[in-house]
Amino acid sequence: MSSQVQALQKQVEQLRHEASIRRIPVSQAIQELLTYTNQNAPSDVLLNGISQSENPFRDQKNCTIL
Amino acid sequence: MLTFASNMASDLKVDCQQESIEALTREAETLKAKLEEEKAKLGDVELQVVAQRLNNIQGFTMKPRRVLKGHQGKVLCMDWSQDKRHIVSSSQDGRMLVWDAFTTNKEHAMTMPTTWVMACAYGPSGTLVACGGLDNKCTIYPLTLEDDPTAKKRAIATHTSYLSCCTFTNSDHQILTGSGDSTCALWDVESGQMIQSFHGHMGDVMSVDISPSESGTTFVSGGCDKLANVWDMRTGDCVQQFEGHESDINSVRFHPSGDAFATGSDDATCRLFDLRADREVNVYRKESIIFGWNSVDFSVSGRLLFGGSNDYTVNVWDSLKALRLSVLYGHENRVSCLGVSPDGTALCTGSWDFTLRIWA
Repeated sequence: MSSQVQALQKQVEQLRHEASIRRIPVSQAIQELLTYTNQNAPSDVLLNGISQSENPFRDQKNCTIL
Repeated sequence: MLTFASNMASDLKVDCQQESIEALTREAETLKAKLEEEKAKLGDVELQVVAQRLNNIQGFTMKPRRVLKGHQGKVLCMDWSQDKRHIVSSSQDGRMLVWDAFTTNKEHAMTMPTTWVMACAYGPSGTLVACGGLDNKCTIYPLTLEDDPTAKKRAIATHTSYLSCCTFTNSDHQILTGSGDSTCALWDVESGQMIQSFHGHMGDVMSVDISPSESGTTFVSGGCDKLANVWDMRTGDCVQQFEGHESDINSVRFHPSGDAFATGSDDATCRLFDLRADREVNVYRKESIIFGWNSVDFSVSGRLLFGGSNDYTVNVWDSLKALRLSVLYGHENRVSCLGVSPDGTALCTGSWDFTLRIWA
């Protein structure tokens, strides 16, 4: 029984804490995610593709024995 | 008479407890309703709607580049070195391997006392690795060229159930662990002392990720209680809790901005949660996708979200439009783990087919 009370007290404490959090509107949060993505997109090589000469993982050339 | 009095006292105690349970339950209900209302008020737009006006992604050309063969069991975990070249991986076969991903050479091999090594991590300096699993421990192995790394291994963390994940903070000195005992803990690597423990999950913790923001004092965890919790590393407090998933969360990963994080779950969805809006802002799902997600990660701009699936594929999502951009085929069994290299030039995936693959 007392463990049930303890668990409830903990839950209420957590909820009280969460109720006191300051939130921003979703539109503002989204705008900031978009801004971050747009600013960093030019340097995102997985997004834009990479020139083969700059790709450290370009396909290995096979050695040809003459 | 005496017995009567003590009976009365215990009855009273039960009554009091009953009352406090009722009061607490009422308060919890009120707070929950208030929270719902508050969050609904701030949900003024949807990300997918706003993202419609963005250009579609062009020029996406990722291809398979390397196959790392050497494990004799399911690959369970992988991590990149900060040098963007080396990779550590751990397997069900009880071994941890360190690879040169450029050449596919194995540079170190460590054998654990138990199978199912579910967690491994590369130290930020590149001179040590950590791993653990069914042994309930997190063990550090210094990487030196001269000696056998197993000779200098050191157990630094102990949980009361299996170790599911571990990650270094931004130094070699501290490591964060998550466990099947439903806790996370922060450890001092040098002394093996626990610095802080994190209690709040009601099921196995499956994944942790530390915030990339400069202060780096928060981390997110996901678990079998379907919850993602955000923690303050200094105080040990759970500062935010995110619900939404309908099954176990297998993977959590911060968006590179540090303001949001993605989750992958057995409910066949990945989701995006925003910390400051304090709610879910996107869901990645398709009717044809019925298998669970084991691992997620972002490209460096956050635009691409990679998901490793039980259907043997890696899915690439446009994280803003929530549209699937591509499917990477190659693995012949479940994709258990994945990670984008620190400079964002490559993706490494690990699978139950015993191999790791590099895509770039």
